[in-house]
Amino acid sequence: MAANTYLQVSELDFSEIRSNLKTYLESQTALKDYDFEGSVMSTLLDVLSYNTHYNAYYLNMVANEMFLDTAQQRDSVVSRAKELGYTPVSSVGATAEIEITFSGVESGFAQVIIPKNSKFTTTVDDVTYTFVTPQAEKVDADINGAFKKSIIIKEGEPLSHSWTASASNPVRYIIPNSGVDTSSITVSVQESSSDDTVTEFKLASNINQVYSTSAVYFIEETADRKYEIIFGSGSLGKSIKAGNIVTVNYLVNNANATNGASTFSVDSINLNAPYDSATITKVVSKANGGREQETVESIKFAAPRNYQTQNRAVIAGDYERIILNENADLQSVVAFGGEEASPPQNGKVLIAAKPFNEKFLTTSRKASLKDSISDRTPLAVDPVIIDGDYTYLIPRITTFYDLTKSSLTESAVEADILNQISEYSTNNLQRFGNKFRYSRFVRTLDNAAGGYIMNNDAKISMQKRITPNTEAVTSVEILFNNAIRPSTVTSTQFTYNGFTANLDDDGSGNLRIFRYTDDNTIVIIDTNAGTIDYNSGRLFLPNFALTAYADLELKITVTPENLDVNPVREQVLLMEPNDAIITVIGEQT
Amino acid sequence: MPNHSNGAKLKVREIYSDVDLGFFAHPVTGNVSKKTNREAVRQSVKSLILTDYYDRPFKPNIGCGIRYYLFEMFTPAVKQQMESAIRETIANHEPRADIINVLVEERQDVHALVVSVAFMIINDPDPVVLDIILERVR
Repeated sequence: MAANTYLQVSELDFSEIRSNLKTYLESQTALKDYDFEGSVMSTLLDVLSYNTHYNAYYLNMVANEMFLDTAQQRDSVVSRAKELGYTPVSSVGATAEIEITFSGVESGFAQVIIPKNSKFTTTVDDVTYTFVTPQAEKVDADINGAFKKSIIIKEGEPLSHSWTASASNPVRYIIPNSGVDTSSITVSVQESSSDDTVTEFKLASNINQVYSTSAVYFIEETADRKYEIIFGSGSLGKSIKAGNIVTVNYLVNNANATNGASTFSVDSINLNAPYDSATITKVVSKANGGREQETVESIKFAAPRNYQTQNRAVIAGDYERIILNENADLQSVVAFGGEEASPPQNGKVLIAAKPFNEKFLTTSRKASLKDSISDRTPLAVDPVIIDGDYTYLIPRITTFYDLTKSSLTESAVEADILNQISEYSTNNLQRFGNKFRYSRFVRTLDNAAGGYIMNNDAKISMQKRITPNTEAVTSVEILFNNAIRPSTVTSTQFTYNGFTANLDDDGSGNLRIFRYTDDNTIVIIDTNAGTIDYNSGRLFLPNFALTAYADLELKITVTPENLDVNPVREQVLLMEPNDAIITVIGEQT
Repeated sequence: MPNHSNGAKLKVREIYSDVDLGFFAHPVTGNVSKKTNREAVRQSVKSLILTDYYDRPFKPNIGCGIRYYLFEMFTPAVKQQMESAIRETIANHEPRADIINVLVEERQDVHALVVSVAFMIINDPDPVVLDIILERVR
């Protein structure tokens, strides 16, 4: 049979499908009324076209959901990511570090144990949230017999769910709650209701180390944002037998709802020793790091990249991606080989991390970060977690705005300039590798005050804030890592040889310590207190013997030679509105 | 089929032809029966009057909306609106029919409205009168 050239099947839209059907009907004479809207033929054409269009749309959507790039449904994206060996990150409750002190502990106990899931509470916006200890903590009595320790607590409600395995009716171990923090999951398997032998199963993080007897479980996200525990088949991981009782303990969290919480109270602690009271004596670090379950967009971005690295930390980017992906409390991470450090540290990978809303990680947090990455690094490579090196940019801005066009007061313009500085800092600085680009900064300022700024004269200084030892003579090295304009070093006041002194440079590479007399005359106390390399931006004070300094930190300020400032390695640029010096001048044009 | 005086059958030319809305099988051929010419147009006009807006997929503006009036008080104004709606629908969507008159009357005895539409078919000298009875089903 010859092909019917009147029948076009390439269109997908309703109107085009209908038009093709009409074209086809034009080739026959038995039924002619297809052109009139009231005819039965016209109604039939509508139904046929609608049906065809519906199927075409449906098939298009089905095809879209089959690929990671085009899938829209979360379940489809998760399923595609699963093929790449990627498990989306679950929501995580905020973590805080508190110092807890027990009083009245019965004598005879040299150590007490705070059990896992001991409860604490905090209130945010009139809602009370539960924090728990994610693991048991041992507290030793100090030399005075006091029981005091800094511990990590994590937001979440501890829950438990059990299933009994059955051969005839296979069980899917889907955790019934949403908002589960997968890092909090523990899995135990009891032999049977009559045999109370319990085996703890661990998360299989490295498939190469899973054998037929390995008591491991796998975890996958399943429908409706829930998680499913998968057990081994018997050859790859120990299998579950009929009659086994599987118990899963986990935390159900409120994601980022408690970020920033800084007041906690003890709810219930069943210590192994009788005691009078438990008091939170200090909040070492307020709650942070709570975050929502990974979004569809993030899964689409991360899954292929995770596949590329095969979950191994080999190059610098691997460390950054893995650590950032697994730690919601970190804003920015940078990793580099120890040979690039100053001084070089061969055989090490240095990883600097900046938490959200904080500048430094606690010692325990650094240790946990190191543990989390250690099993994925090449042999003979030692990961070292270091703090960021913060350089503050101090803007001095003179703003001229048009009085004839703007009714804003000078203070309102100043407030807007401060907002722009804050916004610029949030969006363009505060992360490793983010450069300060002068022209962009000035452009941001020019857009303040509704566009009525005529021009901004912005001058930028770089500042380091250090806490030098006041008890002993120490060497101090300060690295700006950017060229410094000679004769621009200044500092806040400090006490040196009994004088209130300051630091400056002589323009020839020497750092000097000087003081002011009562009539404001400068008297040099030490003409050669240290050296300054104007090209590399390095200040070195080999024997800095100050005995006190003003405020909490000693601030040393220089003017960069160039307008732009480039941070290197672990250096982070910060610009805080409080440091800005702003002069606003209204002009009649 | 009309006969000539000499006994030969005159085949009527099919200008308009449509499927019968009842989808009855032809008693001889077994095919779906057809409506032709006057009957086809009559069926089309009836379909348009009984179609509501948004009944047809992707064509929300085809229809008469006559059913909405069944739940209104039958006042002279509503009667006028119904007649206008019918005229407008046929004028917009049925180019083969030239309306002569539209009359909507109430039949209180059977709780119904009777819509009478008289129209001429283009190229046909005889007028067509279509009566539709509208009743509430509950």
